[in-house]
Amino acid sequence: MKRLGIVLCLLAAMILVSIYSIYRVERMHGEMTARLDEIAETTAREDSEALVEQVGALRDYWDREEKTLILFLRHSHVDDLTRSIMRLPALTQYRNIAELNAELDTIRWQIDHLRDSELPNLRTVM
Amino acid sequence: MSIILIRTTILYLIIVAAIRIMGKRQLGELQPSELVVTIMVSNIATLSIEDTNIPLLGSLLPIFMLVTCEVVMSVITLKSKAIRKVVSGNPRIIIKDGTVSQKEMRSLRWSIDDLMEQLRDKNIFDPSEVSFAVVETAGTLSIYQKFDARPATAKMLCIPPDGEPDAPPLIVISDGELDKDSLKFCNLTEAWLEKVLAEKELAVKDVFLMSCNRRAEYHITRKEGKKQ
Repeated sequence: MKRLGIVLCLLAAMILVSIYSIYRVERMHGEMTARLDEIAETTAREDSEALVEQVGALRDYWDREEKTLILFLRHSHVDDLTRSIMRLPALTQYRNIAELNAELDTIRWQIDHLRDSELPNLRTVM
Repeated sequence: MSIILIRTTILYLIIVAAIRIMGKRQLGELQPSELVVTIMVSNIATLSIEDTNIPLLGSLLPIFMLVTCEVVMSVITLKSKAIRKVVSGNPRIIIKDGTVSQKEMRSLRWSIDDLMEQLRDKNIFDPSEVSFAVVETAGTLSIYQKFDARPATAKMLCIPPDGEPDAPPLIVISDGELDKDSLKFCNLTEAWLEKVLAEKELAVKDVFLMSCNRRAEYHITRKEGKKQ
């Protein structure tokens, strides 16, 4: 029965870790989507100063999140997202709006994919 | 490279802990579910060692989940005979009164060679000497020999016990270290031990191996390099 107690504690810890990973990915998804929407709106308004500021803030936010997410997610998925985000400041600085919009869409797709692959449902389980 | 070394060390420690949690049953004869868990744990651990792209938690969680399933399953099978039958199967009688059951052999997909190998492993070369042979759920063969083929025991030979305490010999000193629990089990004291060693002009640290039983019969192997 001692063994059963140990494995039940382990089970509780594993469920907590799983729930925490889903919570972190969900939180990141919500925050990133909101920030990307803001950047898209600013791009449409052609407000260069605000755009540089928002892209810088997005990068800082991702730098903080990446450290935790790398514990739960495949490193290659996180690295792809980092690579895309790293391109944003240069695209903003040289006002390459078409490329910036394309990169924003890519990032949006990547974070959607990250969240979808982490949430347990019939499609992801199978 | 250093990451692989660190990951391998962590996984090694985790797997040792996992096998310890699964218990001693895991280390002996494997039941079907235990075999599945053992194979899966080794594969999952390898994935994480080979591919540093996979987070370590991605290996640790499934390993612990498998251990949890295994322990929970063993508790359930302990309580329920029906589930035990489903998970582990039933023992099968393969030889009865010296006659091999061909039906059971086919059912178990055992060849004559498999059976004879198992019998020879038990020092039996003729199936007709066997009263009952049972294939256990872990795949081992248990044998009950016919009366005339059974080795003689003291009871059969009507030899009475000699009245001395009957217990197996234990290791009292191992590589120069005294095991006080073994000494206590043998109902002997450290004073007795010191006296025995003094007679042989030895100290505990000079002894490689000393075994002893409750009759205070002992055997000493000195460490190499110590004069007799």
